[in-house]
Amino acid sequence: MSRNHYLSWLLLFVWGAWAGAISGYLVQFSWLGRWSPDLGLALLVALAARTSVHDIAKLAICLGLARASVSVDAPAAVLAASLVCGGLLRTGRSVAQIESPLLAGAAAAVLCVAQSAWLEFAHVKAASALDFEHAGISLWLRGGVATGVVCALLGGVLANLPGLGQLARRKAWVVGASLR
Amino acid sequence: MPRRAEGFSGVGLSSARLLYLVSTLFCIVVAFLPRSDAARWLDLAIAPTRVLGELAAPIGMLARREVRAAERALAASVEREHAESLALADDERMFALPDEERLIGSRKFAHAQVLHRSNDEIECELEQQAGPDTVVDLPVVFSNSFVGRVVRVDHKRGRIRVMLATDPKFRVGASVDAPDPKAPPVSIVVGGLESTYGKSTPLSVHNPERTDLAEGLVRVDERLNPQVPFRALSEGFQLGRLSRQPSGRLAVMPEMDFRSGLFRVVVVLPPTAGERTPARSTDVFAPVHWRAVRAYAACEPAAWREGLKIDYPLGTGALEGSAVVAGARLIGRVSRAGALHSDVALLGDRGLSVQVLAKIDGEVAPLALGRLVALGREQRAGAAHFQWSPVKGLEPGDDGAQQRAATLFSGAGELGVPRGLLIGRTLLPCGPGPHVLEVEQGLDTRLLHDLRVWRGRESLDAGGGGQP
Repeated sequence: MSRNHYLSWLLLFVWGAWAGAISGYLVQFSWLGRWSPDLGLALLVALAARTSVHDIAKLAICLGLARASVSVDAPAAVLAASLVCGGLLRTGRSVAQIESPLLAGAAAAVLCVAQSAWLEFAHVKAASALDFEHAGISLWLRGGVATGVVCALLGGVLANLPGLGQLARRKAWVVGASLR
Repeated sequence: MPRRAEGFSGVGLSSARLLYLVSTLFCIVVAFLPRSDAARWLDLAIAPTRVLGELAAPIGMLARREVRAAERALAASVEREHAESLALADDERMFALPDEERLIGSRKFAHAQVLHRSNDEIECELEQQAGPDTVVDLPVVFSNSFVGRVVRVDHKRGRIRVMLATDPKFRVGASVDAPDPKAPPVSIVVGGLESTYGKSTPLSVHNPERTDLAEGLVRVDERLNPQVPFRALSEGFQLGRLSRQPSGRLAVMPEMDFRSGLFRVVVVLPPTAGERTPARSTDVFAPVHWRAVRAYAACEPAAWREGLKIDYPLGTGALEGSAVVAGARLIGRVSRAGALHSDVALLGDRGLSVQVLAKIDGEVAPLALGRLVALGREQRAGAAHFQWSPVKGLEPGDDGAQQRAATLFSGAGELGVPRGLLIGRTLLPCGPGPHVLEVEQGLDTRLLHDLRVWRGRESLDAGGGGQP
């Protein structure tokens, strides 16, 4: 791996933490409120759609750690969510291309709802003072829709954030076509 | 080409994939065991990610205008809130004493604050120095109600341990008026909990002199057993009202909530007991009890959570469950003490629970609400919702009002959270419940950066690192 490649992974950590914090700012303080997207997950899907299949697991680990650094959810629950998302994306990539905005958006929306449900379930079970019946299903759905839309519209931008170009390297035939 | 794991080559599982799968399963399992050794090791392994949290902290600067406004509002109200808390302590002390003439005479009283409870015993801290007359078997009461007996005294630390009347081994002689007004009172033995699925804590009745008893007030009466020490001191204190359970058995329904309403008790001493001096400062806001911390990340990405990260790691004394305050306000509790930082669950975070004491407008006596469980907020920065399951429903006001305006404070009896921290204002619904309380905190606590975490008197006793 080249020095630039290492730098890309390092920057991915930073962008992941910033994505988590910006999502947090949007959901906690901005007018978007509960319609705020999970930018960390959108970044994961956007990169997973473009990077090598073998790198998806590493992406999931990096972005899981980055989210854990800004979230008060249990680190194990956050990492588990990210690893499962990475596993599903890897499986998805092995059978289909998800680079199209529609597919990437749909994948991000579904994963966001599943991740939200898992994190809240893990929190409630660990807190043990609350029933899962109080879970905010509408919050998960709103977050899922927002994440899907952002991933569909801005997936290309997210995957090409400064320093991440090495990770989102395009396939040879795309590069070849663009050179013509 | 990735190396195939031995034994898994048949299903095409490479060693990297196997490691990934095992890691995922490990994280899933550990997510449900937040206090396990595995969770601590994982926390240690990912501790360097705090750097990422600090790198992302400038995002919070986007809300700097609101932060300044919140800090100004807090500074303007801190003196008043502190005074409110101290006034509440005085009211608590006054209403913990009995008010029946027959219970006051020939006795002295020593106030004690409940520190924590384990099953049917409570650990209390005496507010006056424990003299040689503070001994085992002394009766412990709250107002006119009998609570239990002292079973251990720690003179050095000024602590007592009290066995509650709900303990299965506890027995106390009592009497209740006979159905025939001319007949003498009927003797019974009370102690332990009656089996029930209800929220209340009825006390079991053993060996009643008569079984055809109707309802009536049950008072401690130890004449049946002359060997009981200090029986003159406990004589006449109320145990509750006698009632017949659906099963047909007799039980005593105590006036007080033994389950979660015990915040303060009074030890009954003989009249010959010497005068005492205050053991130590009872001001919970004394700087020695607190550790100043800085919140560096309040941008929680999950919409259903409300929390922040503070620069107070486990190694410097952070403990899970410790109260986090801004000024005189309780804003949350430490939910996870990590290797390089701690997480704080704010009052708007679902699942957080706290013991609560209410000061109802127009009433002097504080009301122990018991444990409230946070349900989150309907609207961002709106009222925090709490579930309240009262043992005994609140009575309507004198004007028939079905909702009573009240100020909520933290109650004692829980490790890590001192009594008297302001929580907010709410309307308490009357009736049996359970109810959902909408608590207005007055300011957005997510925006505050300069906070303090409770170190506790307990940690001072243990040399700074004890369990609060």
